This record gives sequence, structure tokens and C-alpha cells, in this order.
Amino acid sequence: MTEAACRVDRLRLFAFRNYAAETIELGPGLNVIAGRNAQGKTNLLEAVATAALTRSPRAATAADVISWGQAAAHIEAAIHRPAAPVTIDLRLHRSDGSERVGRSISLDGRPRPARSVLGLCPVVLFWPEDLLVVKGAPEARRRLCDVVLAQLEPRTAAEMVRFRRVLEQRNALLRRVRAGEASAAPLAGFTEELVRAGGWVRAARARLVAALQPLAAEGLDVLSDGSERLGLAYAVDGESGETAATDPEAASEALAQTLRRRAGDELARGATLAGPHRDDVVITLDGRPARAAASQGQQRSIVLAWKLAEVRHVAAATGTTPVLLLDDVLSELDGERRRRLLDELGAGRGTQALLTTSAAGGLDLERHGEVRHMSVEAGRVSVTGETPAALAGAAGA
Amino acid sequence: MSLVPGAVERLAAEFGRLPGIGPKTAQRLSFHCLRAPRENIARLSAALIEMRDLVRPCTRCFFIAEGELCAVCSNPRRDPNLLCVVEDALDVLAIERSGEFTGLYHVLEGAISPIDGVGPEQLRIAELVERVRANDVREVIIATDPDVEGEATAFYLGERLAPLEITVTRLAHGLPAGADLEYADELTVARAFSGRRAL
Repeated sequence: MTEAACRVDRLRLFAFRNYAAETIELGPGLNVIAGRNAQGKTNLLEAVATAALTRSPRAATAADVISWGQAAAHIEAAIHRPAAPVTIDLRLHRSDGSERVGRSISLDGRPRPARSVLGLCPVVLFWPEDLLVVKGAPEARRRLCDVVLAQLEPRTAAEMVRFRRVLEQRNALLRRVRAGEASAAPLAGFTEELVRAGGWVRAARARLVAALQPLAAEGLDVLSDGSERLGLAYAVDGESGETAATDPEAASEALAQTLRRRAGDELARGATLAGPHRDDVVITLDGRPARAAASQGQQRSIVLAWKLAEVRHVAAATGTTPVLLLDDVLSELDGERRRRLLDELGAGRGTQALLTTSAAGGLDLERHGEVRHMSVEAGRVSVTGETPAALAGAAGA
Repeated sequence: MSLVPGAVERLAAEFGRLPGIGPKTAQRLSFHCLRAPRENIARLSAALIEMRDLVRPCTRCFFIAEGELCAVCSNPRRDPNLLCVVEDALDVLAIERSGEFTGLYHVLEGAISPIDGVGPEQLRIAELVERVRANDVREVIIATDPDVEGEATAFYLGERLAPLEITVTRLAHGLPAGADLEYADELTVARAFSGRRAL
């Protein structure tokens, strides 16, 4: 890859999950994090993702990441970037007596809004749950898109927030109208807003899926020995099979039409029946829906191919190779597939990757450039070894 | 168990209920009051009670007033044919600071928000329509916030006022003058562009 790499040099955690206070120096290549279950391997990856995305991509509620009994969690991430290094400082604090969590962010010590962090250090995540994405609910596939878009397109990140808000308001109004508690008169104003933000989000996701499709198809060819052709298509409103417009105005207009047609249904059901919250990414193998047809192994290959496409797309779009966060996904692969995947990802060869494993030292990764081995026990991290290549290259790190 | 006496904690808790005051500031304010001369504290508490008892909404525009009418409504030099609709009293102050607007205001006391059970009936919208109908209002400028609730409220007001055959305009919410583009959020920038007008 010709893009310059972005990496996390140092991570300091305070009251984040099971980390009371810890400083972790990361290597520029592969970082293998070993340890028994529930020691904090995944939490370490989550901390990097939380700093990069300004929120945890896996916590059910924002307060979950704050250590039990503590008022605030704090992550400080020193990021090496081609342009200039930057330190992201993220604090999440509980408000008194409520579930709400306040968030303050600074870059190099200066307070900044969350949106100025998104995309600074692109990350590509890979959790074990992602392996279920092919057969899982549409929501999981939409979220796969949204995590990428939030990092690539600030406007889309803002429209997603606005869409969630207007959807909540519009649904509340439809429920009240159905219950006879409110008049439908204000509905048109919320529809107008829903169509505007919803069209933008739909078009952005449709463009992303179109960009990932050829990359993922190519990735599947490399990763699996089969010859199936992988298809990805962004479909509006789930089953209808209609492909979304990639232009925001056209997407808004199409959404407005659907909502006009379904106005009666919406009042009867008390819910918004069309929009990006009901869309799906349709995955096919040789034209057949993968949801029904793919075997366990094929599903895994499809998800890996998607991630590979994500890495390439993010790198091409930002000019920066993203940091890879691979949680326990290699242990299921045999040695040959594991090597092939890491090769394709560029991991360890200019691309920083953090990968967790419960099989200590069993991954045989020595061929992948600079490798730093770490072990985690009860929220403490220690470096257990480093390949000679890393030691030789450490002066430049 | 607590290090500080209950009276200090109770005051800190009251300060903590105020907007923008976190626990540490609340504590600092209580300690400040503890050390201040008694007459200053008496003045502060009297001022709070006095304000609460004397100030109420203007009967015409619902901005804050000490008598029947607020300072804007009782100013004969303001143009009564021009109305600016805002969500709350603080918005009036913001617009007044610009010195740009010479008409009268109408404060809605909120925005439509179904989540909070706020519909048009909970806002001063019937009063607005009545005011426009009864007085010879020429133009209504809608200056609700650019968030989801403010936009939906503006849209609704546009529909309610349409039959009255007056000019209804929406305040262009662009960038604050002198604002650093880098600090403005994406939507503000995007919408400032789409709301631009010819010079």
C-alpha cells in the first residue's frame, strides 16, 4: 500500500472498564494481545475504538465503559499520523443520579467538538459478533455501514444524528395520534425533516455499498478457494428489493413518495414505516441470497471479505491506512488462511493491527514483520516479547 | 460521614440544579456564600424572590415584563406590522443585541416536541394567529432554532399562517459572523450554503 499509515503509539486508560490506571505502549506493526478470558483484551481494543469514534461501538449504554463505582472514564491516545501527531483525550463522566453520560474531548489539550475527532485516526473493527452479520438482523448490516461512514463523511455523521432525533419525534407523534392524544397537524413538518436527513443517510449508505462491492468480491476470491461471485446491494425498506438512489436529493424525493403512499398505514400502526432505519444490505453469492444459502465457512469468508474491502476503501478515501482492531477472529482460521488474511490486510507491514487471542503464542505470526506480544491479566498489560525486526525498527518508531 | 455540614451541602445541591453548574462549581459557590458578608447574601436572596414575584410574561408577546407589557411592546418606535417569532425569551435578547430588527416579537415558549408531549396547543400559537389576524401584521419572520423541533415548528407555523395572506419568512440560519468555519458544524455550513441569497 502506498498510503501513509496511522497508528496508536500510546494508550493511557483510567477507570475504563476493568482498567483502573494503565499505560500501554503499542508497536507500529502487529500487536498480539494474549490472555485468559475476562482479563481485558477486548476492552483494550474497545478503548482504541472509543477514542477514534468518540463513543464505544459495542457498549449498550455509554455508562457501561466507566469502571464500576467511578465517576468518569478517561482515555488518552497518542496518535501517529502522516500529517502531524495528535493526542486525543476523551472523558466520559456520569451525571449525578442519571443514566446520562457527559463527554468531553480535547485534541492536544484543546477542547474540541466530537466531530473534529472522527476520521483523525480511522479504525476498522472486527468483533466476533461480526461473524453473525450475514444471517443476523438488518440492523447489524446497517451498523457496519454507519461505522465506516461516520469516519469518512462528517456531514453524514451529523445527518445520522439528526435522523435518529427526527425519527424519535415522528414516531412519538404517530403513537400519540393513534392513541387520540394529539392532532396529526404537526406531522408534515417532521416528515419534511425526516425526508431531508433520511435521504442523505440512504444515499450515503448506497454509495458506500456500491464502492465496497467490487473490493469485497475481489477479497472473497483471494480468501476462499471457491469461485462464488459476491454481490452487495443496498436495498431500501428491507424486502422490497429496490436499490436506493446514490444522490441525496433523489433519495429524499423517493422517500417522500413512499411516505405519502403509506400515510394511512403509518397512522394505523403508529410508526414510521419507511426510511434508512428499515433498509438492508442484501448479500448474494452467485446471485442467491447469502442469508439463506451461505454455509458457516462461507459466512465467515464473506465477512472477512467485507472487512478487507473496508480497509481498502478507507485507505483510498482518506489516504491513510486505518488501524485494525481484530478481536479473537484469527483463532478460528487455520494457519494458511490466517497468513493470507493478514497479508491482504497489510497487517504488520506498515499497517498497525491489534489482535487478541486466548491461545497464547499459538498464532505463528513471526512472518508478519514487526510483532509485539503482550499479555493482559486483570487490567494490567505487560509486553512479553518482540520480534527482532521490531527491535531493529524501534529506533524509528 | 460527610466532611461539610448539611447546610452547605443543601445549598450546593441547589446551585447544582442550575444550568451549566457542575458539582465542583456548586461547591465553590456555596463556600463563597459562606465567606461573603451577610448583607450580600441577604441582597442575593431578596433579588431572587423579587425577580420571581415581579417578572411575568408580557401579555402581548410573552417576552418577560415587569408590568402588563414588556419593554419592546411598550416602545412606540417599534414597527407593530412586523413580527418575529422565537422559541424563548433568551432568543429575543440575542436578536436585540444585533440591533437589526425593529418590529415586535412573539415568544412561543418552546417548540413542538411530541417526545415531551408538547404540541401546538402547549405553545403560544393560537395567540400568535389571533395577534396576526387582529392587528395589521404585514410580515411574520419565523426565527425558531435550526434543530429538528425548531424546523418542524417553523413548518407548522407556515401552514397555520398561510390562509392569512401575509408574508411569512424563515430566518436564514447561516454562520455566525466571524465564526470559524472549522468550528461550525457540518449541517450549519451545508444549510448556510443552501439558504444563501444573491448579493
